[in-house]
Amino acid sequence: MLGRGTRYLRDVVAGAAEAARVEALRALELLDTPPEERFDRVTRVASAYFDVPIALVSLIDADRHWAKSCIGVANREFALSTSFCLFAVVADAPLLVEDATADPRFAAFATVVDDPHIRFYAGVPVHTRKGLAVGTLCIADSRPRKLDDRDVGVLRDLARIVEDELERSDLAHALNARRESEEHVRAVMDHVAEGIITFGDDGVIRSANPAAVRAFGALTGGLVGRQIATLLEGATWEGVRRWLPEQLGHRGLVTGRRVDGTTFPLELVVTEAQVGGERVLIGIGQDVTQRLEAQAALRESEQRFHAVFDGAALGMIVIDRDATIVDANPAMGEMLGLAVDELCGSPVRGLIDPGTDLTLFQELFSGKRETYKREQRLVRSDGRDVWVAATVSATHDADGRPLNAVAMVEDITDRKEVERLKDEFVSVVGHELRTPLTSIRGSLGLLDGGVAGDLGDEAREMVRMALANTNRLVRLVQDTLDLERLQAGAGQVELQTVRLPPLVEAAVGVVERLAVEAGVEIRADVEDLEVLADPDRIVQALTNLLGNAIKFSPQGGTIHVGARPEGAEAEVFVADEGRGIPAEHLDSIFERFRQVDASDRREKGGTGLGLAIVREIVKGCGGRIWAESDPGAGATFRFTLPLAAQAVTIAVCDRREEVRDALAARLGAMGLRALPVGGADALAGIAVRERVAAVVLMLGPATAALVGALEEHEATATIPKVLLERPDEHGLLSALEGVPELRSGRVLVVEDDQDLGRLLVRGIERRGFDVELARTGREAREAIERAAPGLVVLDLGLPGEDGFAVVDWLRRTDRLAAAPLLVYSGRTIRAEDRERLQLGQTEFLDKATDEPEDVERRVAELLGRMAGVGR
Amino acid sequence: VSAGRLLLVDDEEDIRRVARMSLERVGGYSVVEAGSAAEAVAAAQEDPFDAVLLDVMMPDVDGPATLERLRPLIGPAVPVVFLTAKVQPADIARLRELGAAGVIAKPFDPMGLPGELAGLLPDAT
Repeated sequence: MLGRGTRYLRDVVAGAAEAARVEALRALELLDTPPEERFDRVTRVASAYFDVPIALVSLIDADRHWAKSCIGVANREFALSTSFCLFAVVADAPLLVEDATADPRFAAFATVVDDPHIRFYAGVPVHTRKGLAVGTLCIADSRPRKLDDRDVGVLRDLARIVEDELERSDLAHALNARRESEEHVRAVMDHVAEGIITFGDDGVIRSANPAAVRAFGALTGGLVGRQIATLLEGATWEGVRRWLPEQLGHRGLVTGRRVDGTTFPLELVVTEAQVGGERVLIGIGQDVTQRLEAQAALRESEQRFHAVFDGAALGMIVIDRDATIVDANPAMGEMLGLAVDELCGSPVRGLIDPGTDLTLFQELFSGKRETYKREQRLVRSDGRDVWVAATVSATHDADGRPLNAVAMVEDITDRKEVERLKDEFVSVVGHELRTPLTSIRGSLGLLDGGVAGDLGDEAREMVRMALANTNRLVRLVQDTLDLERLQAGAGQVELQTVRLPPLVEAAVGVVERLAVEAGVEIRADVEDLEVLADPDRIVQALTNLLGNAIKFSPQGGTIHVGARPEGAEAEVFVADEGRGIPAEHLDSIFERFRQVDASDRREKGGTGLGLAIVREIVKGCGGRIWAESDPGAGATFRFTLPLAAQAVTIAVCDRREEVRDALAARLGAMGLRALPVGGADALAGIAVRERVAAVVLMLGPATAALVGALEEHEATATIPKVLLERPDEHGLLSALEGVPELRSGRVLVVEDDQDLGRLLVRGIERRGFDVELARTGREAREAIERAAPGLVVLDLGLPGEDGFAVVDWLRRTDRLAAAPLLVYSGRTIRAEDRERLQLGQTEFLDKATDEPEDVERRVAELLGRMAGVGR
Repeated sequence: VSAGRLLLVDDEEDIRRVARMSLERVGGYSVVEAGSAAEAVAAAQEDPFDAVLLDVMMPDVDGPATLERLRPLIGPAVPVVFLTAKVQPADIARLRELGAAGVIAKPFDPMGLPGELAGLLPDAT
């Protein structure tokens, strides 16, 4: 019995979940809301009228029974398995139970067995507007009862009242929804950029949104009631009405007419709709003045671009990321012997060598670079080669992403040919020109020497002249080749640590005879400095400078040649007492064939290449050269060479000669030894021979390729690469900050006064140097033996061995000749003391007048300006 | 009395003439000319020489290659001096490595050539 009842109940419970019913119930939005008087009033009446303790307005959800209003029970929520109402709802019919204990469907219900011990139940289904049963109005009692027909009628009527209330809730919701939707529409209408106007079959405007009102220049509402035709230039309603049917739904451009009579281009679409049985026409339009202007500007700009593109002498070509040619100009076509149409759509690969590396091109599209330049051989349609210099840049879309590559292409075939001819010419000069010169020079020499028989006086004079000019021609050939080689760089200058005085002596020896013949005296005053240079080339440079000085010296004049330390460099000078050089020529005299006076070349027998060669030599050694002059009071040529002790070589690697020279000069001026080199191979040649502390690369299109090439060479792979964004001193300083060699300058402080010693150490350390402190002469010697310092600060009065003894030892053991010595003592230095303490570059500071800060500053200055700047 | 017998090898006839005149008349050497490696080899097979003056840049067989062929014929003791228009330190070093006694630059001064040569040859000659 129980089992059957349970199964039956399960089916009924399942019936509660019927989807449409549940949806309708939930749409009422009454579930789980607080009690409401309008429903409580009904249950109160029912309870009183039927004299029952329990009355409910029940709602049957999919999985529970919930009472919107209840009298006589504490809970508002019940399980469906104890719900009488469920049966009424699922059956959609009134349920009358006189005695639940007698009904097998309900006898086992907890509400029957336990509290509230229901015996009597009567429930009438309540429906939504659409007739779906969602709950009941029910009454119950713990005593068995009977209801007659009239009672059931009353219960039904009360249920109708509940249904009315349900409907009221439903309508309120619907109304709300509609209001919201209308607000949406209004919001859209108010804020949309398009003007929207509705008008009737009579052409009278019914409504206009703010955008429309603005567009036509009317005050808010000012369009309603107007004739639509008045808003269209030159239109009548009759015309508009005839025009409308074929235009409906089509976007078109017309001329709008503002309220003030001015006109504007109006893009308009008209549609129709039925509203309340009346046909309404809806015009949606926009003032397109700006858009048309923008389009016109774009068109004009495109036309201008195409005029340039088509008319340019430079070839221009647009390439997409797949390396397909998108566009090309006529100049490009002409360069390749192809029509523009033939170029477009074809792959770039077809124009270039198959093995060409496209890395740079691809980097344009990966965003790694914006532009690059390259010299490239292209193949013309007729099979001939054409050399081009291409500047390739990325173009971008509106979001800044790389779109295409645009190449500006210059035909440099002629230039390449000239370069080739020049190389060939140089080689011709090297051999072919010298061969006949050898015969000529030899023949004239033999004639002049009387070997080929006696000559008459006039003939001898002619032969002399020919010989002198042949010699000049031989020198010119020699100098030209020399200059070409020096400018080509790589391997022409062999650097080594070398003492300067023997080089000066050698050069003086070469020109001695010339000087004697010219009646000129040469006085040399050379400090014994050790430099890093190519000795043969420096002798050549000095010989050239001395030769010049002799040529321009007056008879009886004196030439001074000397060298002295200047920071981290040796400065070598050759000064004459000749007529001097006008200020405007001081720079240009180092260029080829740039004598101050063109007649000098003939008169003085020079080739016009000597100073250019000297400059190349000095540059190759990492130095600088310049000329000074007071016209009338002689000229002085000065050049610098890095002192061997402090030489830290910084290479400047750039394909462009003017760039690398400028950077090297700037580094030189900062007290560094800078070597300009033209490429990775040249640097590798140098790096094999000497230590290069860093290589400076100017950031540019070729940097990546250059770094790659440097990484490939064993000799250059480990050299720190310093990428430079700005070529000024500040940029260089910050770029070079990370180079270890530039920071290390070891200083030995010899001072027995502990406090002063510590003060000096701290101060010098602050300036970026490593400092060691020695308190006695013996400690000083030990420290120097361990590692030679770059500079010594020396007190004289020391316990045991004094400062003099330390210097004596240094001299005896030939140490620290090139390292500056700073004597810092309180003792009076006599002339003979000065002589005894002189060791290479020696300076004297007095404890009585010079502060420790003065010592620190001088140390920084002496060890190169690098350490002083930027800290 | 001859200052010594020289083999002069140069492909340029004019240069040979000038050099020969200088060496014979100014220096007192006796000179045999050769215009190519083949002629030089032939001459060396014929007679012994006290020294060889050898041009570097010659068509077909150049100076260093000629020296290689001559050396077995003249023996290791006979000094060879190169005549060259290439006088870069690197070039000179390379030629010395080949066993040359010295290098004389072209163009040369004919009045000074014998002296220059004598300075490069060992005292014995």
